[in-house]
Amino acid sequence: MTPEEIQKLLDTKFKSLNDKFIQVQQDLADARKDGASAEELGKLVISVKAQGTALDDFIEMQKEKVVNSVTKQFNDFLIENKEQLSNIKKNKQGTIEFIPKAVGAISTGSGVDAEDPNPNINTKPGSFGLRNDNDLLNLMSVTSTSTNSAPYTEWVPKDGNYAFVSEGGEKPQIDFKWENRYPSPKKIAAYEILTEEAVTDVTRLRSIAESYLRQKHDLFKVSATFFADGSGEFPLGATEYGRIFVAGDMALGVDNTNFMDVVNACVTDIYTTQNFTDEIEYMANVAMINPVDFYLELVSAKDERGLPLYPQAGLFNTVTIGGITIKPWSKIPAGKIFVADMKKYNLVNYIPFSIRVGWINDQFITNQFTILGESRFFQYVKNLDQNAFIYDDIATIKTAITVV
Amino acid sequence: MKEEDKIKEAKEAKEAKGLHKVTYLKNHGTRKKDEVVEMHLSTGKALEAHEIAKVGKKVELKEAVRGK
Repeated sequence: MTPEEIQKLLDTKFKSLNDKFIQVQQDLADARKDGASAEELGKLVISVKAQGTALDDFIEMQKEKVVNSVTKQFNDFLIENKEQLSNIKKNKQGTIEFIPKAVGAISTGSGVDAEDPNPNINTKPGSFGLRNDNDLLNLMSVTSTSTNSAPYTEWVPKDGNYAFVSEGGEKPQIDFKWENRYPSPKKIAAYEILTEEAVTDVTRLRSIAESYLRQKHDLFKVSATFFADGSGEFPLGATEYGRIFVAGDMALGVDNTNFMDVVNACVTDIYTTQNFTDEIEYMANVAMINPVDFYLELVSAKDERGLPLYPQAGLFNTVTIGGITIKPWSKIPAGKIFVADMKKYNLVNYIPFSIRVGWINDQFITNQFTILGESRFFQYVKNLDQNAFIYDDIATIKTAITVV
Repeated sequence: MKEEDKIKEAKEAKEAKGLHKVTYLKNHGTRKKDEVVEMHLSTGKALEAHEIAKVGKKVELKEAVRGK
């Protein structure tokens, strides 16, 4: 109960006694006026005295109680805060607040944590809201090897060709060459350090830590196979293989250009770009754009009746037309488009992802341990196949193919 | 240069080899004004026809890099 509430109750009690005192005084005056007997008047006078005494006693009692209670609390306060008061005196500045306490109702606010609670008790097991991009790996040619090399051979036609030859005439010679290449394995690795106490006290912490290692590994691997720059220990990502769009015969050739014209222009560019005569054409199988572009160009695209032009976009978050799948991916910057025959991107898994546990340095005597996640793989795109990757600006391609 | 000449030039550029430096004359897509990008002559000439960019000199083979 607050001091204000206590004061209010005391005021009410005081008013009640005071009202009774005034009432008996009034009754005495009325009795005199009405010619009451001496005996009746005597009784009323005694009653007035009794009420007056009760009122005085109450006032004195409350004064005494409050003063005693506050004095005791103040004395205790001085003892408890002796050090702080000493500091104020020494520093010649500072404040300290004394709030008199009073008995009050027990409410929900009455209970508090006297000490900091153990947060581990309330830690609930869960998982991280990490994206899963693993399906993008399925677009590539994924194989496995158990050897520490993944050589591949490029066969290239050279000179000469068949000819119609007359009797006795000399036949033409044709030849070809091949080149062996040796990609080096790339390693992805990271580790976590945990204490024995943590994995014991927090429910499923070990499992969550291992799951986190796995998810981060997978995301990093997919991202690297698309965006890593090939320097040092990095692999070379598919977008880095990506060349720019070549307008060629498509330059300034399209009326009312829309996004699908851009995609088809890239597909055509990839299809018609050949390394040598009669080379099999590259068939782009995937186009990836930023999710915002996906919405603007496909999900929200409508015909003149307001019907969606690409219902698949809204329903399945992907559009498959003529063998090419258009997908949104947040890793693709807004305004960019990646179109490729991703089967030409080779991913050769060498050491599958594994998690190992061990002690390093003084971890054994400090109740710590290390969890290590690691994998190794080869990646390559044959030199001749690099034309099968385009990474360029949507606006640039659209403008380049649009009639003036 | 006349409009039809620009179109003709852009179409003829398809046979060109290598890359050319192209300077954007205004903000366009992800490209900023004055940004220099290496691209095929046919694409550069098409952008030039739209008055989006200006084609510059041919990139020497040793300094040619893949477009980003």
